[in-house]
Amino acid sequence: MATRRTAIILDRSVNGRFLAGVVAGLAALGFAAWALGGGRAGWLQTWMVIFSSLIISALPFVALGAVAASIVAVFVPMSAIERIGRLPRPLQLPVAAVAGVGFPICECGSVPLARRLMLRGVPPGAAITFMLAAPVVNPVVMASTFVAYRGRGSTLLMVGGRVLLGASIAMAVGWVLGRKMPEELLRESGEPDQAPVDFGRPESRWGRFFGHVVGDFTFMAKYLVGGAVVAAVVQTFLPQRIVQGLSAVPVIEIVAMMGLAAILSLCSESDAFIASSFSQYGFGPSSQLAFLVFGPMVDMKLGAMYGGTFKPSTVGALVATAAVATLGFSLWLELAIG
Amino acid sequence: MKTAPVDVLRAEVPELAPAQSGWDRTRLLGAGVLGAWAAMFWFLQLSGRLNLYLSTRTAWIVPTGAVILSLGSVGAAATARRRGLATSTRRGVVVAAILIAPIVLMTAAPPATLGSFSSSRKAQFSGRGLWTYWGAFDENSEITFFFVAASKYWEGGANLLGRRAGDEASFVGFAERWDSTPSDELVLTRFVVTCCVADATPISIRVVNVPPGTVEDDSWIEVTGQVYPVGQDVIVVADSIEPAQAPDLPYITP
Repeated sequence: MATRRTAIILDRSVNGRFLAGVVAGLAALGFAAWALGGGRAGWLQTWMVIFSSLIISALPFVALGAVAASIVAVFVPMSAIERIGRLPRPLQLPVAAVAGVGFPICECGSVPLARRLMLRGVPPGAAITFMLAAPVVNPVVMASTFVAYRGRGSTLLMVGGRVLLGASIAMAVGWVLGRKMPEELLRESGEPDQAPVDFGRPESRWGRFFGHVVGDFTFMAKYLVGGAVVAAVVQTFLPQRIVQGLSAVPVIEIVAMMGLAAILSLCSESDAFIASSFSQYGFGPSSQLAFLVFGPMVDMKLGAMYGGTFKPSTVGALVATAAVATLGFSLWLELAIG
Repeated sequence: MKTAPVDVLRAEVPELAPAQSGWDRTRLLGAGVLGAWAAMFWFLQLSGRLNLYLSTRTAWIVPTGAVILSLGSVGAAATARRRGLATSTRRGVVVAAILIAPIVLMTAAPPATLGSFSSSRKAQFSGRGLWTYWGAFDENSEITFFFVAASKYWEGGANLLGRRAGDEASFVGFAERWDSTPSDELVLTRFVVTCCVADATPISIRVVNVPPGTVEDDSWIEVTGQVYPVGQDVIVVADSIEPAQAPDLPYITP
């Protein structure tokens, strides 16, 4: 008589004691939050509120990104992917940048999608251009920038400049990194998103789809949590007025606003309201544009997600190229508009 | 010396031979994480606690997240019984714990909003763009925090508020005191949030004629009095200062 056996290999180290330790750790965390919360420490309350809001506003987009990435992995035919690859390289990047217009999603969602696109064979330059451009050029971001700057006489400059600069910088980074192969850029995940050893009938499409959703979500979300911890610490303690005295120093004002954008880790759909508030400190349009373009491409929570997705050398090159391109374009704009 | 022959396949992977269907624990663990977050988002939606973290403009994110995460969790659990081999590792359990930790923090800590600690570190909200966008401020407009913000950073707004100097208005906000605040004054503040609390910027109004020692920092109060523009500042000469409940929407959205 055939016996039914469960074909799961359990890691010997995942035993009851280990699980009890994990549960106890979570319980201790909950107790500490309960004991120290309720306004007993202003800094802790501020950190908790900011950390929670960062996670709550970003996590659905990570989930959406994981779903989009899983659709690419399971349902999009290879022929469609290959068509992108057959485009001449100078055309790939503008097409990828413009594709961001149709993908109104925050930066947290574009990272898992870009990773999946690269894994499926989309040229790396195009995938990276899309990843960086989508959070800047999408219609929701354009609308929020318009609202934030309306009535200032610089509305067109800020909305148009943000789109053009964002797309140009994304293409510049895509051009620099696009010379490499995906395996040279991407980190080996070590995550169980790869299909387990299968014997006999392959898993259904929906089974594979949900497997990818779980894999991509857990893969990205843990970096989001890490990035949000750091971003919330910085937001809690860093006085925004720290940049106040720098607005009159050419070049430094742009660098200061880029640095501030990176450490504040704001959502691209709301950062225009923050950028516009720095007018009161004397920051001009070019430094505000640098804030609006650099922030959605490089910030602390994104840094953690990039670190989990790409090799350190890729992250370094991405950040450096984006920084140099943003600074260069912003300086040119400053000279052009006086 | 002779050694006994070893069945290499069976020795290294003893469970391999009779591979049957089973539960993919990695996927089940992932389904659990997605389910926990789905439950958290439903809780935020149904309890109204989403207002502590998001603006009214972006409140749709919470139900959207709840639906996506619920579907993901159910789908992953439904497809977790499958043929093949799957592993469950310490690393996977630790990652799951990291992803659950924010839920533990949010549910265990008492509900809270940003207060004076944060206000002192933020740049003030600039209401300049709102002035013409909304077009809602005229001779008869209610004087609100946004009206005050617009008048601080927009010449037209300052002129309009100037013409209404001495008008009575009421404001609900939390009290704070800056280093420069005299003992018979306080600063009444409300945060503006456009997406999530991470982008909060304060609007602050000086309140004068405050009996010293009557109001604690971070307490919610309702101030009624006459409003006057003073240079680039706006002051309220308080007629009454009453304790107030924290509003259901503690942050305001343009």
